[in-house]
Amino acid sequence: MYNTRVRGVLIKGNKSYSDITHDVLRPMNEKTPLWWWVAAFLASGALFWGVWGFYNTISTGIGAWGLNNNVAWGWAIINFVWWIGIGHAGTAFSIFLLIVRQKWRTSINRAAEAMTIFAVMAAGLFPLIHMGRIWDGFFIFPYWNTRGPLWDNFNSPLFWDVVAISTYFMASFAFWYIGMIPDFATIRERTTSKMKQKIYGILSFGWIGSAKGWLRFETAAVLLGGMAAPLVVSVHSIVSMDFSVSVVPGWHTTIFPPYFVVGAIFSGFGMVLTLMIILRKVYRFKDIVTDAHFDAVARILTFISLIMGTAYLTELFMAWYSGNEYELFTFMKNRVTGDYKFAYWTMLTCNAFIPQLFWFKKIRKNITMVFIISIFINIGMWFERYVIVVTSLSKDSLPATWATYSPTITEISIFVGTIGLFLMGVLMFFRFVPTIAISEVKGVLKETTTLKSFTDED
Amino acid sequence: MRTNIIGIYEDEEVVLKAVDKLQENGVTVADVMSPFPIHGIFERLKLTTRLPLATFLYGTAGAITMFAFLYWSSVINYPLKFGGKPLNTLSFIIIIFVLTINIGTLFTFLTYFVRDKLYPGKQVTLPVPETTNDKFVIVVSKTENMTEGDVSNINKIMKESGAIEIKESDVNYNS
Amino acid sequence: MNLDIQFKVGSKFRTSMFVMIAIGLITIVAGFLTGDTHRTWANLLLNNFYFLSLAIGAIFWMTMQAITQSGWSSSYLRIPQAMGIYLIVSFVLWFVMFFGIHDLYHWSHTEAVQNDPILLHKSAYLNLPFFALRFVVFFALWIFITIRIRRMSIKEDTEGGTRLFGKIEFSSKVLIFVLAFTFSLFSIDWLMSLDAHWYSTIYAVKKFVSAFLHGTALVAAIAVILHMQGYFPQLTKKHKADFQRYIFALSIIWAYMWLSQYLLIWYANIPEETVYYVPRIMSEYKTLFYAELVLNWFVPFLFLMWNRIGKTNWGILTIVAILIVGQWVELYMSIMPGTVESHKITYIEIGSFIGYFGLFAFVVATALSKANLIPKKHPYLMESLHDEH
Repeated sequence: MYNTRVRGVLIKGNKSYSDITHDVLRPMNEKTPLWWWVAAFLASGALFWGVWGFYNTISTGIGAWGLNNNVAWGWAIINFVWWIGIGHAGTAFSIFLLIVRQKWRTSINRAAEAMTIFAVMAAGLFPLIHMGRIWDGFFIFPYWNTRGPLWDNFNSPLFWDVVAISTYFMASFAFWYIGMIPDFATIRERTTSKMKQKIYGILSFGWIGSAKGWLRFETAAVLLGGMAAPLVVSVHSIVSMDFSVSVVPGWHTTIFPPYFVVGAIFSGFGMVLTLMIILRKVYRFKDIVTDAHFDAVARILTFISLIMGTAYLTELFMAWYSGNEYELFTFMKNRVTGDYKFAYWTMLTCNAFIPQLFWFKKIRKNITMVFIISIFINIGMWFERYVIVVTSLSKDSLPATWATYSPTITEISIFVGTIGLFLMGVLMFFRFVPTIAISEVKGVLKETTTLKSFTDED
Repeated sequence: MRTNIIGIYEDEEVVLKAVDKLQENGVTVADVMSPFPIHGIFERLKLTTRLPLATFLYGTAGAITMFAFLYWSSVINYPLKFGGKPLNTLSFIIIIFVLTINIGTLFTFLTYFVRDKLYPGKQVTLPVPETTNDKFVIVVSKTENMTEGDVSNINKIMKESGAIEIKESDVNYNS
Repeated sequence: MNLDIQFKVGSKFRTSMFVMIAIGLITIVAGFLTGDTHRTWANLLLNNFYFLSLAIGAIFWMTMQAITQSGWSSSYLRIPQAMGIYLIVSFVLWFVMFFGIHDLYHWSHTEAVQNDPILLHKSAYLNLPFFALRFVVFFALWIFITIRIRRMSIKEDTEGGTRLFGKIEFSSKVLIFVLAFTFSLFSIDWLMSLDAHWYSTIYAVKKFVSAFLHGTALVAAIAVILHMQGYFPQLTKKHKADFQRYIFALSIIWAYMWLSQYLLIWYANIPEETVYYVPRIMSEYKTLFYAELVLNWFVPFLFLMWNRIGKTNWGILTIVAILIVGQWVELYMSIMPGTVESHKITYIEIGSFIGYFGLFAFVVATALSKANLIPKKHPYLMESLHDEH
């Protein structure tokens, strides 16, 4: 039972089941709108610029970047972590919200999962380019080779990264695809176009929606989701271990794994808000993705932002408490007041302070404000990674080697290129796939919309 | 060729009641087709799945295989110390953890399709295509020893329990 | 369904709890008289922290229900509220600890601090007046907000509507905010500073998760016990599965925190940090060190993976019993190596735990009997009572 009197109606407009199907599939049947072409043009422009940067890096080598002996990790790693973080929203939406029984996830999870796929694709590019000799990339896999046989260094977090991210990509894709099969079958049965019938017929794998099929479907979704939940936590923990297993001040702190995971979910939710607000606007999904959905996400963001603030404070406090002069220098001098204070305070403001505006109901209800704050979160999370990667490396324990770092045009172009790649993927998703999980929304439709009157003696 | 009696409904709660009614009268309900999973239908049709067991076995096998491989490659085949860490190192935990999930996910994914006989390009004809949109269907198989009376009785129960349409279909949809 | 259910504390239960408290008192007095003061103080700290974290974990679970707007749990909210009442008793008990500070905390000795640059640096934070001030402020905040939420919830029983419901949600948000900061610092103050030179950023988070895990487990156990006595007829398999999911997920998160701390310290291998684990792994503590992991994570994980176990009364009770032992071992491992340095489990450990347990059970049961067992006008109550699917 779902008390709609108190909670409010989740899906508006008194929709029937066929209304849901019709509403979600409508954009796919319409002619491709102009904004889509414009956006696709811009995105592919960015993508092509990125391809140039990619080519430049491979043909020149890593020297095309602004890295130096001290700051050997720059934008590439920052962007890699940033994208991976954004890629955490899909699973977080699908699994964690399922555990705490949040019904509002159903309208959003499909888009969040799609975002995960494209963000992980964008992220995976960076380690690949960072190798410089991309053609030797396969060395990372443990295979029977002619070198001894010399196996990989299984103690290396970089190897863990490869394993974790490829697994995460595969698992998210599996989860996402299984969820889409019933919706593809819906398109297959509705469409009049021969072409579409053929394509979605193949994609839907012959789904018929029998009771046994649904049982297996639900079980498989729970199983894949249940396995993806610890996986999603492990992925960003492993990314954090790229830093925290070292002895670099500012990197080696034991709170890093959970702190990275929370940050990842934070940035993921931020990006989901950004995209869902756009999606709802352009596809007029006001009744299915309602203010109640955004309100719920905003509440969670307030909570996560609090945790982020606590984590920043813990780091500062512990740096002081440790009495270790290198830690003290990195945090107090280098980050809070030093050369990188702009980045540090931007991070703090965007992640810990601005989302606190969501305490006010007025701001949660104002979609424009929610959109702006979600953009700030995306920016803030980028700066968080910047602070972590660059400040600790630029001034380490040996002052003679201190150096500064600024990116070259090549690095910028690769970053812009991955944004183009991500947007291209999202645009394709908007165009060719049901952007909302039709069957899941139908599953919660009835109890979340009918006003049942409860008496106290019921 | 087997023939099915098909009752078409518009509401999942009505379907649940109709299934109860049919089963009370000793009719075996072969299948229920719906646009989304109906809560309570699996218990009524006594459907179970052993997919969780399969996943558990894949996971266990994956963990053991991964540990065996890591141990063999870094302790037996080419023992080489990295960064002062022991040969049989704690780092294995992380790799084993991730790859257990990897193997579990991949094989669960495949098993699901194999068991449900789903594959790309499979051709199916639905008895009522609207079951992927907003209709619910109860399928009762018409067996050879069913008399005319039985059939009309089933029709009657379906009608009374709120079917908007009842038809017979010889679509063998599940092939 | 009749919603006016009053829990009654049986006289037999009351007597046995008094006996347990008496056992505890006798043990503690005996501990001091026989000259085992060091160990007795350490045990008092252990038990104080143990039951405080159960209460904190339970009220944190309650606030989580409020902010996630969970309906299923609404009929069990009186259990964490009653457990929150223990905070008042705990406050009094902790005051006793101040007499044992010199016995336990290295940093409280002025002469030791003067010759130690690191402790001198920390003395801006770790000094007695500030320490005591933090203690009082933290407890005042916890008790104030918890009692406030409980009062509002009881008032809701007669008033109904959603006015108080909204206020409770707001107070819950504030409490989460307060707990995140204060309980973290509290566990740094009272536990981490036992090893005064050592530090770990995740330490407080791990203690928080541990409190959340064990507090939630105890809420589930109390709900199941009351259900077996006929108080909660609405406790269906579905609700047990929900409790099970919480315990399962939290136990994995606990293990994750454990591994994060251990793996990173193991990997970087910096002497200042590994000094914490050396006496814990390379001595007689070894068995308990691994027992901590097995009891808090491995056993619950293995059993709750089969949700058939988690859906039975006895399944939940067994797992919770294991977790209760697990939390004791965890705190033992946090406190003892830094204080008494001897790994024995003597009569003091057992007796004092029995005494505290009796007190805790008595306080919670009495608090439960003071209000209607079900928050009968909670807006989501019907979602909990009629939770068929």
